[in-house]
Amino acid sequence: MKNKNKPKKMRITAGITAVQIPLAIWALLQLFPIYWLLVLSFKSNQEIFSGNSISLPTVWRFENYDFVFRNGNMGTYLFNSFLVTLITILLVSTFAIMASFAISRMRWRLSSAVESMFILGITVPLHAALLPTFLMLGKIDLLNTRWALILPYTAFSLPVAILICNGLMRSIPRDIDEAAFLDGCGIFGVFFRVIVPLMKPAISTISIFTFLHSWNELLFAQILINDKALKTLTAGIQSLVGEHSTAWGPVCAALAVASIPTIIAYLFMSKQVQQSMIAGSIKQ
Amino acid sequence: MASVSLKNVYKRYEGGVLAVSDFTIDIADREFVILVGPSGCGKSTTLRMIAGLEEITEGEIYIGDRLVNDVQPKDRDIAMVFQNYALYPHMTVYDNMAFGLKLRKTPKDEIKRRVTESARILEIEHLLDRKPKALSGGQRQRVALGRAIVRDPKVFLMDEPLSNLDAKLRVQMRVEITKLHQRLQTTFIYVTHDQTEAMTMGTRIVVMKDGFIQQIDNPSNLYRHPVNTFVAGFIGMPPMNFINSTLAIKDGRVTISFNDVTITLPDKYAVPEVMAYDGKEVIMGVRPEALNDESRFVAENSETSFPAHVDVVEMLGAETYLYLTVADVVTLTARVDPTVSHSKVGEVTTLAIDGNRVHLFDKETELVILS
Repeated sequence: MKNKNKPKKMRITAGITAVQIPLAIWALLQLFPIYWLLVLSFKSNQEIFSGNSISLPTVWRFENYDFVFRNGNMGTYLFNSFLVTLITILLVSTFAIMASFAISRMRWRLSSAVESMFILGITVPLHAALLPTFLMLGKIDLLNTRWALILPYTAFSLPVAILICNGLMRSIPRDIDEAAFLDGCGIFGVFFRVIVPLMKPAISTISIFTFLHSWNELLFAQILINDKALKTLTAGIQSLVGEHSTAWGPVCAALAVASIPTIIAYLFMSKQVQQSMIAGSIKQ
Repeated sequence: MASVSLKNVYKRYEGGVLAVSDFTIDIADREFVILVGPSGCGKSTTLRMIAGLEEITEGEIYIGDRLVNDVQPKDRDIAMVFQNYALYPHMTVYDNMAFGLKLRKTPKDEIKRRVTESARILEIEHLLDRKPKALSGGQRQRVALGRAIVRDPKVFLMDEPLSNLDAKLRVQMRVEITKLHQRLQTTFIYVTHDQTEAMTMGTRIVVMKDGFIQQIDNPSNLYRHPVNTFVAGFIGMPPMNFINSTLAIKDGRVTISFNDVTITLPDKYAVPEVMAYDGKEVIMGVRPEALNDESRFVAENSETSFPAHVDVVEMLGAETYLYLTVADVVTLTARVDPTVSHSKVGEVTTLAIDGNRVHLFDKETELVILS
C-alpha cells in the first residue's frame, strides 16, 4: 500500500512546487518596491544618482528620518492623518452598519431603491465631485478644517462599506433577530447587542478599505486644506518636494514612515478581511 | 403555564394571499398540540402569530385570559425554539441561555441557578463555556431548548426544531422533548411537517392545508377516523391506499367494485349514510396494514380478497412493504408480516382487506362517509 501511495505523493509535491514558484516570484515582485523605498530612505541624493540606487546603502543615513521629523513637520502630518482616518473609519463603520441594517433587515417600501442609490455612489469618480464638494464646504465654512476631508472621505467610502455590510448582514439568519425580540430586545437591542457584534469581520474590512483610501488620498487633501498645521501625510510629503531640487532620501524616509501603519493594519486585520469577503458565499 | 385560544384568526399578506383562514382552537393548559401539514399550509405563520412575530389580520389570540393581539413578543411570556436554532454566534452557551434573563434584569445568582438547572436537565453542563460553532447539531438544539426553558415561560412554541437533525438524532430528540413536556408540565405548541413527529409527540394534532384547519383530534382518532382524504393520506406512513370504486347494495349488504374486483363489506357498513351512495362512485381508503397476504387471513376474509401483481417487495426487518397493482391500474401498498408473507416479486398474489378497517369517502367532496 505504501509503495502505491508514493507516486501519488510525489505528484502532489511536484504540483505544490509548481504553484509555489510563481507565487514566490510574485511575492518578490510585490516586496521589491518596499525594499527599494527602504534602501532609498537611507541614502543621499549623491549615492542615488551615482548608480547605486538599488543595492544597500554604502553609508546608512539615519539622519534622513531625523530630518523629516525635525524639519519636515512629519509628526503633525502623521497626527492629522491619524485623526482624519480614525474619525472617517468610525463614521463609515457606524453609518454603513446602520444603513445596511435598515436595508437588509427592516421591511419598508423604498429599501431596495435606497440600496440602489447608495450603491450607485460607487460609480461616481472622486475627481468629478471635487468642485461641487469644494463649493459646498466653502458655503458651510468647513474649508481648511479637518472636517473638509473627513466628510467627503466618509461619503465616498460609504457605498463600498454598505455593499460589504449587506453581504454579511444578509447571511445572518432572520431567526436570530426574532429570537432576540422574544428574549426581550427592542429594535436597538437587536442592533447593538446582536447584529453589531456579528459584523466584526465587515468592520475590519471597512476599516482597511477606508484606512487605505483616507490615508493615501492626495487630491482632496491638497486642495481642501491650505493650513500647514492641518495637512495630512500625503499633502505634507508632497511639500517636501522642492521647487528646484529634491532630497529623495528624506522624501523616501517620509514615505516609509507613512507606509508603516498601512502594513501594520493589514497584518492585524487580514484574517477578518478574508472572512468578510467570503461571508455569505459559503455555508457556515 | 397557560391556555392558548385562537378565535377566527386570519392572516392575509399584501397582495391578498391568504396564509391562514378562520383558525379557531382552544389549547388547554399543559397540552402538547402539534400543527402539522405540508409546506405552505400556514402552520408556521400560525405559530408566529401566537409568538407575536407576525401581525394577525383578523381574529383574537388569548394567552391565558389575556388578549395578546397588540402585545409585544417579549411581553407575551412565551419562548420559541427555531428550526435553525437561532443561537447568538458571538455568545457562549451560558450567555445564550442567560441573555433573556439578563434583559429582564433577573439577579445574577438567580440567572446562574436557572441556567445551571436547565443545563443539568438537558445534559449540556459541560458545554456552557463553548460557542455555538463548536457544538454539534444535536447539542445546538439542546442549547436552543435550554434557552427556552430558563425563561420559565407560560407557553413553549417550537417551529420544526428537529428538521435539521439526522434521522437517528431526530428520534432521540423527539423522545427528549416529550420527556421535557412531561417534566415541565407547560403548554407546548409544536410545528412540524413530519407526521411521525406529530403522531408520536402530540396530545392533540391540528392538520392544516392551504391555511385551513382540516381536523383537530388526538393521534389515535386522527389515524382511525380521518375526516377527509387529505387527512387520511397525510397521516400514516406508508400513506393510505385510495381506490376509486363504485358502491352498490346487494341483498342488504354493501359491495365495492373496482376494476373487475368486487368485495363485500361487513354489516357495520350497512347504515343509511352509506346506503345513500347505492350506485354512486366513492373513494375507498385502505391502510397498508389492513391489506394482508397471509393464507389463513385470506381464507377467513374471502369476501374481501382479490388477486394483485407484486411489483416490489421491501423487506424492512420487522415488517415488509408490498407494492402491488390490480388490473394494471390500481396501485396499492401493503404492510405485511415478513414471517408469514409468501409474496414474491413478479408473481400474482391473493390479498384480502380487513373489512372492518375500510374508509369510505365521497368522490366529489372527499369528505368521509364512514370510517
